[in-house]
Amino acid sequence: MNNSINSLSINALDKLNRYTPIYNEQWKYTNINLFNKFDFNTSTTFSNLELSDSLLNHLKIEDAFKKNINNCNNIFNKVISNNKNKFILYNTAYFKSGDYFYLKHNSITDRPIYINNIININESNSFHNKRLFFHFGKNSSATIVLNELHDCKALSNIVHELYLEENSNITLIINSNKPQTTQILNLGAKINKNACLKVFSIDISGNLIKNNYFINLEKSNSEFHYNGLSLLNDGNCIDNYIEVNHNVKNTFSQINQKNILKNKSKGVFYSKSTIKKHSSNSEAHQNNSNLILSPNSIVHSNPQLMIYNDDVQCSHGSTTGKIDDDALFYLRSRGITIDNAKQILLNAFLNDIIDNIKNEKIILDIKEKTNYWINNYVNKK
Amino acid sequence: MLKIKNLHAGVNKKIILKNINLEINKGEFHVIMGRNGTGKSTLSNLITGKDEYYKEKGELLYNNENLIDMLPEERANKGIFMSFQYPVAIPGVNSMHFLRTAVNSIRKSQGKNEYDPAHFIKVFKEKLSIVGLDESFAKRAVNDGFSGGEKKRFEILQMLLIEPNLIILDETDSGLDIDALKIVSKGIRDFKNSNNAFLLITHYNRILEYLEPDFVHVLLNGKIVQTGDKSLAIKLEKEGYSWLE
Repeated sequence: MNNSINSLSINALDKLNRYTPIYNEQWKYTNINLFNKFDFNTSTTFSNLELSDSLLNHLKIEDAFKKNINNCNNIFNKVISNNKNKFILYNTAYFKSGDYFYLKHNSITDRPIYINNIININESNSFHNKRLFFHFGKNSSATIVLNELHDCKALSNIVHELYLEENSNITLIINSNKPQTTQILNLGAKINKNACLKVFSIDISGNLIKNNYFINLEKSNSEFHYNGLSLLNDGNCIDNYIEVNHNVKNTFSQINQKNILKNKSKGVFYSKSTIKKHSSNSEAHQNNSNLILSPNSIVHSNPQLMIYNDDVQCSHGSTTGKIDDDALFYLRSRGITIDNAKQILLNAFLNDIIDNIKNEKIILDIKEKTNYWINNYVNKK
Repeated sequence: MLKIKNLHAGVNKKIILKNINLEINKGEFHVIMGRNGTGKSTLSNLITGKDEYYKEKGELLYNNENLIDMLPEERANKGIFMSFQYPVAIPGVNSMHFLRTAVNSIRKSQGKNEYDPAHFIKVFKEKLSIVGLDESFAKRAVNDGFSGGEKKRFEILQMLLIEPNLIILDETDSGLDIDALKIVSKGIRDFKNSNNAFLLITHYNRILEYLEPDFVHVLLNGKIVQTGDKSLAIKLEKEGYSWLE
């Protein structure tokens, strides 16, 4: 391993050895001990990626480090603070091999770039790390679809770092369908002047999924948009924690999470947008909507705003309910069967998230999966 | 077509309708008037099959079949249609998609050919012009952000597309301005024929200036207390309901 990465690893191990668990709101509704049954000593790194487009340059992180490409040595591992939780430290200590992606200055494409992330591990108690580092150059623009194709019983400990330079405009779609998986994702982003990051997080089932987002709006006119969609099966737990820091004035963030829960499942939404003292003329909006299909489903929703400046526009809201009986009757009174009516209403609930992806093919791909999940619910009941 | 005999019915364990008798035959236009809370909407919801409404005793027959045992979608497939008093907004459901799904579901159940998309658009545009709505409605979500008048016109549009046999108009005239009232009334009048029948629930005589009812019934305290012709509606408008008590 490259010396610099090796020193990061040693440093992280040292911090882990001295790590004292403290109360942390990231874990307010999902017990961190659920992850402790995994054998961290069996830590492995699997890296098997398929990349659809060479416009996005791809290297191993260690190779990028050797050449200090685009000053990556000073950015990597700094986008997301290691102190946020111990799993980031585990990842830094053990990741061994990661992937570095770089979109050059002025690179613009309308064609979505697909990254297929393939992991195949069968040992149910094992623990593996995955590390992706994205650097988007000035004036670059792209839509990246990250397909998480693995579904194994091992614990996936994933860290993504995204660094957006001035005027970059990036859409990242994380498309995940892994009913057996236990996962911790820590995603950090630093967004510079006039840059915009849109994240679409699509989780179609997951045994135990903990997604943490740590977003820093670093320079003026930077924007962050988050659109999340989680569909939960019996026994699933999906917990989305989103932290956005408006570090300077003229910054914008918008968070929208929708969950559909069936049977005995648990969904968590916790967002915290902080507008700092000098971040005037900023906007932060949060919304969470939950549709529960069973009296046994549980939702925890906590959209929080921390505002330290008077000159801001902020909003937050949360709704939780079942399928609207009046809407269901209206459709049935027009000859539509109850099953078909439910499918229509569940799809409608999801549409305003999915339709925000301005690419017809990606929309169709995602709707095919959500339709399958919905049909499965309606037909099995 | 519709036979109601000695019907006692209610909602959420409370009896509202007490001994209703009513027969509606093909080609007839019936009007029910009455004070708020007398059971007019209970009757329409019972006919269309809303969950919480129930029959205590009596008969509710449609073409000699027991309606109470049928699901709401089965009743729609057999030709029963209600224009809702408060049409519900359904964000995220495209109006055109909804209309084509509804129309084709009913056509299929009746053994008719389903409309292909191109044919449906043609029929849709034709009916749209009758109710005075523009083509942008095709792209909007069902009733979402519609004004009161637009909602009522959208209900009549559905009636024209579905071509039902028994049409219940639950306060379709409420919330309409004079121009919209004329458009809606014309849509109803033109659709009326010797094979279908109407039951209009209303508080006002003004829609009857544009329609020709065969019977006007007065519902008071869950009972039909008077039946007459159009002149009864005019008298009610002038004198109210107290003379019937």
